[in-house]
Amino acid sequence: MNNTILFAKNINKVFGKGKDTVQALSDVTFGLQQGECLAIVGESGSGKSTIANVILGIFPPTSGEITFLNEKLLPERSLMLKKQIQFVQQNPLSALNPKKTIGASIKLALDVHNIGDKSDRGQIIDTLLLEVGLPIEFKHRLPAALSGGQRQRVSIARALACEPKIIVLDEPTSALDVLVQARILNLLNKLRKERGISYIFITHDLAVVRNIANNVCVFNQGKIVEYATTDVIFNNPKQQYTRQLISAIPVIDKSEQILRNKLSEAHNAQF
Amino acid sequence: MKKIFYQLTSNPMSLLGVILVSIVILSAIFADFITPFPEHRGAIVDFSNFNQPPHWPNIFGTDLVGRDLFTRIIYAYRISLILGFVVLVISVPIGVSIGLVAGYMGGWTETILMRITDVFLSIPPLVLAMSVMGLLEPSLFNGMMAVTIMWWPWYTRLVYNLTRSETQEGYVLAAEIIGASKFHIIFREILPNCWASIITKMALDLGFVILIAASLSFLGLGVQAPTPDLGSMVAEGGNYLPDSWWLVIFPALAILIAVFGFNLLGDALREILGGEE
Repeated sequence: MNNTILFAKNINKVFGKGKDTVQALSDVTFGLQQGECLAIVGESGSGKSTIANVILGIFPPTSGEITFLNEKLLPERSLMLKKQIQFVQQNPLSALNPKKTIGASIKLALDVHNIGDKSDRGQIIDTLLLEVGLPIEFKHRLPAALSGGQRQRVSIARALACEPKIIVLDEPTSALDVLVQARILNLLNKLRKERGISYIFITHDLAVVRNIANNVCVFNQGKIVEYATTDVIFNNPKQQYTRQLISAIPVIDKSEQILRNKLSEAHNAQF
Repeated sequence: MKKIFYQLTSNPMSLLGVILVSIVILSAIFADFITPFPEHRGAIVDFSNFNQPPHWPNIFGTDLVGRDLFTRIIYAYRISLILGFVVLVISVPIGVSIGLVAGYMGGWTETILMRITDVFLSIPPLVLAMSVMGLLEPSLFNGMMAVTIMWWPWYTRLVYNLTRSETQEGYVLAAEIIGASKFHIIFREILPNCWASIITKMALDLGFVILIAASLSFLGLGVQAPTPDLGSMVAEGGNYLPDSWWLVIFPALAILIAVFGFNLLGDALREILGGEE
């Protein structure tokens, strides 16, 4: 694995003290390639958000280590390392400061990391907004004037503003309706190809995983029960637990599937 | 701003608040031009016209040394407002900063700062102010210091609670992950979300500060003669009830109008700005 930018080795995380402990993560090991989208799936309480927080440095692992480009990640990270790993949250309603304009929220990232000349930052914000598919005028608006999907785009733009190598996405589409979900996933796919960023995509929604991920880590009770490419996971799952997760996806029958493909082809041709 | 003013004047109770507060503030600012006897705010004696019931041109009557009571009252408003303003200008930044830091930092910082605050909160406000005034010499400046010392912990409590809940919000986490400094997160991210509540409390408190200052001078611990003060006017006039009723009734009504007005205004602001108490 020569292109690995992030490697998590034997990560354990125990919450609580004495008798009252919870093993949130046990012996978690995985690697992330440059430009890869790694999905972390599992039911609620399986430890998928815990691993996100450990990677982001919100709290340190109990044992084990994470290396980023062969550099060990410590609990106290330098600004340079913080810049490299960015985050998009689940709830777009609270992720933006209600008292700050969209432009100011994005500008914070540029100011903190001193990206671009001071006079150019307005220009950079415009470019970022266009890149995530929002009109430039939005930078003067407050978050309250935006829909959930638009706010999630702003969160993505803010993460991109740091020019990170990795973006951790914690259920970025689960608070959105299906149509908006699809557009956000398209946007994420496009950005990953254009910018060569890696994603760690945390979700409980396997239908989303199929759309976006190269590799999948299936978590159950803090352990990785299956770790394989998306094709293998969907076509030939080894574990009973993975099969259960997949069988929980709502499906449509063959004729509906054909109709759906036809419709989306027509849609794609149109745009 | 325009919208807030419109909302303030559309509800009868808040309109009353705006009117009362305007009367208080305008009469304090333009006291020199409103009264025909501006010199009566000082040490003046006019024994030809002492202790008179309301009559023209002394519409509120005259006091025991013949000074116009109306003049004394509007100049007392001026002193009360200056006192209230200074107290809030000093105590709000102190209280708010301590509350923000304690609420955001948590841990030992929080324990130490909040326990100190609790000590101040556990002493009855008037008793604390009285003991400070007892130690120091009674004067306007020391009165302001005494009230300030008892006032900041209330803002610490308010802002601490707000900060605790704001810290849970995603935008704070987002700023942390971007790598923003603690100073930025506390004062640029969290503080703007507390302003509505702080401003509401300030409007309410202006009335209470005036009341506390009046209580202190009623007890003889505040502003000293010959400076006009509502509290000492009530205290002095109380000795001559019920015959010289105007000596008490008008200063007391003046206190009532100020406190009531600022309360109505504060309540109205709370509704409009959506602040919490």
